[in-house]
Amino acid sequence: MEIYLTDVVKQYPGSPTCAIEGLTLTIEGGKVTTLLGPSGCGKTTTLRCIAGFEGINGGTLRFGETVVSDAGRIIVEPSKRNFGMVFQSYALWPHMTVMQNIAYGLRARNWDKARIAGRVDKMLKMLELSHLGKRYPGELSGGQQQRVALGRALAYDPSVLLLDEPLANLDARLRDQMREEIRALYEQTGVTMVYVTHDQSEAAFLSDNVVVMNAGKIQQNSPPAELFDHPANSFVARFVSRSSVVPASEVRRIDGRLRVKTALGECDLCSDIPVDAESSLLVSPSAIDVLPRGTSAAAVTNKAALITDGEIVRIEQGDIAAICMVKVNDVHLKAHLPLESRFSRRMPVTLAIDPAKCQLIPGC
Amino acid sequence: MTVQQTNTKPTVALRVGLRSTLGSPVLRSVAWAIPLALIVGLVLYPLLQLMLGVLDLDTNYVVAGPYLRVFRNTLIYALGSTVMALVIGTFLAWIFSRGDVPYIRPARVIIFVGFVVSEFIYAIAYTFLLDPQAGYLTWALGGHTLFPLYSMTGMVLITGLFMVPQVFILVEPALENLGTDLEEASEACGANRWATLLRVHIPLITAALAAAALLTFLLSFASFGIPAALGVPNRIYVLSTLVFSLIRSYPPDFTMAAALSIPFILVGLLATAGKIYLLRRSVRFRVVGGKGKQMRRRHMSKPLQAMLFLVVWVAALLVSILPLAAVVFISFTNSWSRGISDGLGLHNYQFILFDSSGTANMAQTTITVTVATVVVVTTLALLYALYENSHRGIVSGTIRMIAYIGIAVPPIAFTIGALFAYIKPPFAFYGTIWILVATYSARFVPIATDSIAAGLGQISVDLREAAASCGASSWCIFRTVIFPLLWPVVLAAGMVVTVFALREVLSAVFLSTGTIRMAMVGVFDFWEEGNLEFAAALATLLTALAGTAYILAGVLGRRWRS
Repeated sequence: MEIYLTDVVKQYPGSPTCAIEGLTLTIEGGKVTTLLGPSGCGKTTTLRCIAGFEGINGGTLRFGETVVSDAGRIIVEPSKRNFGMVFQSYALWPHMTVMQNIAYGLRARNWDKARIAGRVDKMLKMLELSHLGKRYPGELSGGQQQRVALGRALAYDPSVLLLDEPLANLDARLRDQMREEIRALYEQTGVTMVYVTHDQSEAAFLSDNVVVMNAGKIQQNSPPAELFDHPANSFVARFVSRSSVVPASEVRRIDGRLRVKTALGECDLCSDIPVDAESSLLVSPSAIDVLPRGTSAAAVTNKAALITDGEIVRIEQGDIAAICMVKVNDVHLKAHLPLESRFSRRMPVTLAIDPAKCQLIPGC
Repeated sequence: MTVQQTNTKPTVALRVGLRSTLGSPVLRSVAWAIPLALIVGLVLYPLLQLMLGVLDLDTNYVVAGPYLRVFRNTLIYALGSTVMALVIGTFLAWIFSRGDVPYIRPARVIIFVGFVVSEFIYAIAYTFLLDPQAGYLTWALGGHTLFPLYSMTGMVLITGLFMVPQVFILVEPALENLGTDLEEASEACGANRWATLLRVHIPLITAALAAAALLTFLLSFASFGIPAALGVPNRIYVLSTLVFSLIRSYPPDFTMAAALSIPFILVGLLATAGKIYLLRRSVRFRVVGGKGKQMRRRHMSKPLQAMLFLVVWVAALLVSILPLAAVVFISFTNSWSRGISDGLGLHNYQFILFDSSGTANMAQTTITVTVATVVVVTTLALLYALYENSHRGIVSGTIRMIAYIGIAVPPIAFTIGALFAYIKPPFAFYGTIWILVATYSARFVPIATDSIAAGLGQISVDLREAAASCGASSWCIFRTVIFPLLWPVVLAAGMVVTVFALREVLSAVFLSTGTIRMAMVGVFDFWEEGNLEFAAALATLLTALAGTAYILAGVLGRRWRS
């Protein structure tokens, strides 16, 4: 089922700023949409507005054709919206067994006993919890509790599943395992999912669509790949990508090319984007060749390259390549190092930056 | 003195106390035994004497009709006021923890203020407000009485109001601890608000509700001040007032008084056992899931907000504002029934502070007894807490249970026991302040023990082990690590004991003699003589004192938490 948010405004009483400011978004049916952003960006508020736990101060919210909330009014109560929700705290009822927790939504829908038993059984099997049905939540591990929470939310075939940072309370290994299970559950059920997280790798792994939010506004709404390749502005770039964001001090259009002046020096970009008042150069690690200090421009194969000097401040050893942080005139750049290189920390180096692999993005 | 071993069990690493000063193990055990024996003796000796007293009784005498009627009265009274306090207190707790209602936070503080007012002063205040002839509210309603004040109805309603803060204090934290996620999960699953209330809220706070119900029942079953002020004038007796009349009659019938105290002990022990059972059971349902417990207030419609706003402020008015205002106002009048028309002034204070012959004595007794009680109670509680911390086992568990009897046994039974115990050698304290100090101490030690032990438990074992690993002796650890961290808690416990000692009516009235009178007895005597204005003035002073101690306790508690 599609969910349409149109110009949604949410302001908490007593707060001077809006938690959500004029948000317009279509959540596509049968896909996983992730709301991604730093804490306080309005992503959880958006989710709670969709659930109906929060009213909205402006705009409309539709589930398919039905208007469920509009300015100042909750038209359809949360209990009538037919969604499932997984909370960060799991919110399992401690006085009910696993089976009772999963059956709760079915009982609320007045299913008959046999049908409830059948469905609960099916959910327990699907989540590999069959042996734990009679346990209380307090007797389960974090990962098992998480699965019960998923089972409870999916048992009654909701038209949309809302997940509010469901993996935040798990340790790193379990988190990786659970996100695969969530994706597998999605493949099995095909339910529309809205997933809130502040972790970009989770978003990239799970989503068909990522909505990056900041200060109550959407910064970018696109599939994960595009998010990483073409961040819409410097905020998105800083939040999701591994590329370095270098504020531009001056951008001029010269003969259909853009001449960009930054702390790294001047370079020309082939770009036809309109020139913004404030913009930044996005330098991907793969655009940078790290060379020993003193390498002359003549020795660099790429004649268009921007040559500059810097110093290595940090090296992170990875399994495929090492990543280093190079300091150039108070700007920090991330660059790849070949695995078996002779570079080390504090070493002065020369960088050759390929402008063809750089982008100009709005914001600084 | 060797360095503490830090790799043993954490509690063993901390033999806090007198080890380094008192070298030998024998001396050490004696040093521990004295305070522990004192706690046990203070509680058990009066109860033992009470039991012995009952043995003299002719049983046929007890089951006689009048006594059964009084017993039935007591049950109706206690049940009625419990139900009322429970309903109002829980509803208020729900509004404060879940409601999205503006301008009600001050009312919460005001309702808490009701906690420091003595039950007896509360009853007098409502006399001023609702007396059928001269009550201010009766007058404001043009001579109509809302309900007969000097009746069972009056007693139940006023006691119910009086107990509201008690219920509120117990239930509000339970609701706060619940976190709103659990309710939202229920609604997400398609259950409406009522189903959520029935199947999520209520089961999860049952333990707290039942604990509050049992405590309130216990308190009102044993309550003395309100039945004395509102029931006795119309010859409606409950067990406590009947016991009192038996002791005040000539000759006093101590045996019968002791026999009538037995139901109190039974009810008290049963209620406490029930409370402990329920609290244990509730641990099983402790809400799971790491962080992310959120308290969010759900949006409420304007009419609902207005209605709840009204409910809260009317409750604050009835529970605290009106009774306190009435007492304070009347303390300035010449004649309370004529009110402002007869002029206002400070003459009541002038009289009770300077002109009344008993004042100096009363002030001295009140101060000495309160200070002595606070010193005894906090010392014993601190020593016990330290002992329990380093010697967890059967001995400390048993002592704690015995100490709890001091709370479980209703004050009236305990007080009668104290009369039996301290009227004859070897502890002939009757007629001295020590009978009051001993009785108060026995009753208030568990209160202080609870908070000090909890405070001690929160001082991380790491801190003490770190000190031990630096080579500090246990006395040194106590002096340099534990006490500096714990003193606000000890002092706060002392302040709470002060509140209890100042607002205590029953033990004070039963155990006072001509020369040894607590200030609360002064209020009681002024009231018996019909000098209500003096009673109000003295009550105002006492309540102000207790209020100050209560605020100090709160400030110290916050300081400690930060």
